[in-house]
Amino acid sequence: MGEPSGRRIPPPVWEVLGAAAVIAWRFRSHPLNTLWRDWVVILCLFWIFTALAGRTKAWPAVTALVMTFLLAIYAAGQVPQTLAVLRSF
Amino acid sequence: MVPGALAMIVANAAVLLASHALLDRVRTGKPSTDLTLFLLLRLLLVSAAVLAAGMLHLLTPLGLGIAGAAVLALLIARGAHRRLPRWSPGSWGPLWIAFAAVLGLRLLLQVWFFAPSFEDSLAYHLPKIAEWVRAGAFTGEHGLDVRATFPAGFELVETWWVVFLHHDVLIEMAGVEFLLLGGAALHALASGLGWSTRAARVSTAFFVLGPALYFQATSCVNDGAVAALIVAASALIVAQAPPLLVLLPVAFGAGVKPTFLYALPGLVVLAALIPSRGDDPLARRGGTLAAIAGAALLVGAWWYLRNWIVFGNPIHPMGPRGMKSMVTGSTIQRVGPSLRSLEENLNCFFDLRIYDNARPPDALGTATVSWGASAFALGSTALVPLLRADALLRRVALALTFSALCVFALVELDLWDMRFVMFFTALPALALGRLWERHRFVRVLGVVAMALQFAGTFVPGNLSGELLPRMARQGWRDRASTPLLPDAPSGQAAYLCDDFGGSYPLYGPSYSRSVVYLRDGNADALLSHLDRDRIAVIYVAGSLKRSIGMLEEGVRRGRLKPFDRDGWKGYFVLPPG
Repeated sequence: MGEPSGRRIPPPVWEVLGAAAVIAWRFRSHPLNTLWRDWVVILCLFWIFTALAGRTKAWPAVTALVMTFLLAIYAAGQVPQTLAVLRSF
Repeated sequence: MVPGALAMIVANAAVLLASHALLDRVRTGKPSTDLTLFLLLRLLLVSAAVLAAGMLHLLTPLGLGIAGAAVLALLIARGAHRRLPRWSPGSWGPLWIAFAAVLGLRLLLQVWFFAPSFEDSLAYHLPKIAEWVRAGAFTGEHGLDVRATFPAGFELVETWWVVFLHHDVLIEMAGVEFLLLGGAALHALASGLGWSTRAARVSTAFFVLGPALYFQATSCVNDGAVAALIVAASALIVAQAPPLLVLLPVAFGAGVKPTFLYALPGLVVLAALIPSRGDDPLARRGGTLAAIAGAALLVGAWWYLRNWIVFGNPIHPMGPRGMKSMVTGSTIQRVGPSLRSLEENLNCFFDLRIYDNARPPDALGTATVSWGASAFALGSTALVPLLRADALLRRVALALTFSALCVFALVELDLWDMRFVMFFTALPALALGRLWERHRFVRVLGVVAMALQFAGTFVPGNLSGELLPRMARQGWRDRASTPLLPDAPSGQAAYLCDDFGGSYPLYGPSYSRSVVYLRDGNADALLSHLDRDRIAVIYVAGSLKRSIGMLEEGVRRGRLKPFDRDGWKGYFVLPPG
């Protein structure tokens, strides 16, 4: 006799709760104006989206958007460092 | 130089053939796992050969060349060369061949033009190699740096690449060997997870082009070797290799650097989650497996046994309260885990270092993690759906995350400690390789990230500015990051520091000069030592909090004349009276 399926919390809900808890921690411990480019927050938001809409047609587009956004954040901070090294020759 | 080069070729041919003969006895049948095993066996044989030669006073081109020729002749007589595989480029495709060729050529150029420059290498990794190569044997002199007695498994491989030519122009090849191992191991790990060959190759390319790991290969530091060995151990566990075979990278890693042991709990977790197959036909090769594991244990434990015998403490100079700076008293390395260290390292990792925006990348990941754009932007994102879907990847991720947490709990936060978790980049690289196959946009963004990482791995930040052009202008015979003073007195050189400082450049790239290390406690002892050993110049480094008094006394007595130029500080020794 198994537990009635209606009473079980589906795994995606646990995932959403976990990711939301991490986001809440970041909100608590970091200035709000920096969170739009916070690596952890962005990945957790993407985790929530994947848990809820991982099988939708929108998922690849959102994934591409997230990757592009993170790539832009990284490049904005790191590329000047690399260029400074290459320019020094 | 020519006889040395010939001896190097013969000895390397012998080790390669012997490694392949050994591989034949422990082959798993999985190509990338077998390549990983082959590279591990080669590194084991190289290390064992240098250890034996160092103990037997045969650490010379002649000694190793004759031994290599004998082994080579024996193996050829037994037909080992007939079992060598025939390489066919057909399965690779022109793009991958071109990529590997460009990367390989650039690595060789970097090996040629880079000279050791990191303070840690110059201070305690390399002076002992210079002493060994000059003596043709292991010596008791390791230099003045307190860290000189740390395990030196990586230095054994570096010694292999300098002993034949009696020159350090190829010393970075040791790091290149470990980068190759890391690449092969990641490919094997991807294959073990069920990834396609294409996905495994993409993962490997992003892994080896991670800036910190890549620059480790050409910077004479050993954290890249540790990362490669952790990934190799993970790959063997995932391939369900016999435990005695898994012991090979584990024991070897312990002898390269204790930080490997800090990450070991994660590997134990992985082994518990993925037990080896009981019915493995390899397990019947018990004798060979035990011999390999025994040799790896001996090579790995060597340094701890030596420290136990010589200093009464296997982890000398670490005491129960870790290791403190002799000058400032601050803790350099702790013993045992600390929740404070874990919290500080995690906060620093997530809040600052992961963005790689504070400094240009270098081998030590100074003020960064230097994992590269692919890990930050693409691989980490790709991990989210893959970890949800792939149970085997989840186990590997759990194990490597536990390893990283253990490392963070065991090391003090400083500007460079993120290099100890470099192995973690295996995860985003694996995920990116997998998603590369499925989505065109991942391939497009991946090419952008690859271009950024390729451009960012030409010159490490620590060689920026004038340093690399100056080294490139030097002839290869004289190439050094800190050349000696051109007008230095021609007599004996001595070295003095109280804490940390690099004495390695004093030997010269061809190890043609000897160095006397000064451990005198007062001015009278120092001056009589200078006269006894006919020392012409003393080079100094660091704060000299303890020694400055006796040096100033020497100046007052008219025996020492201070100088500070061209990157060197020190004292010219003047004749008495």
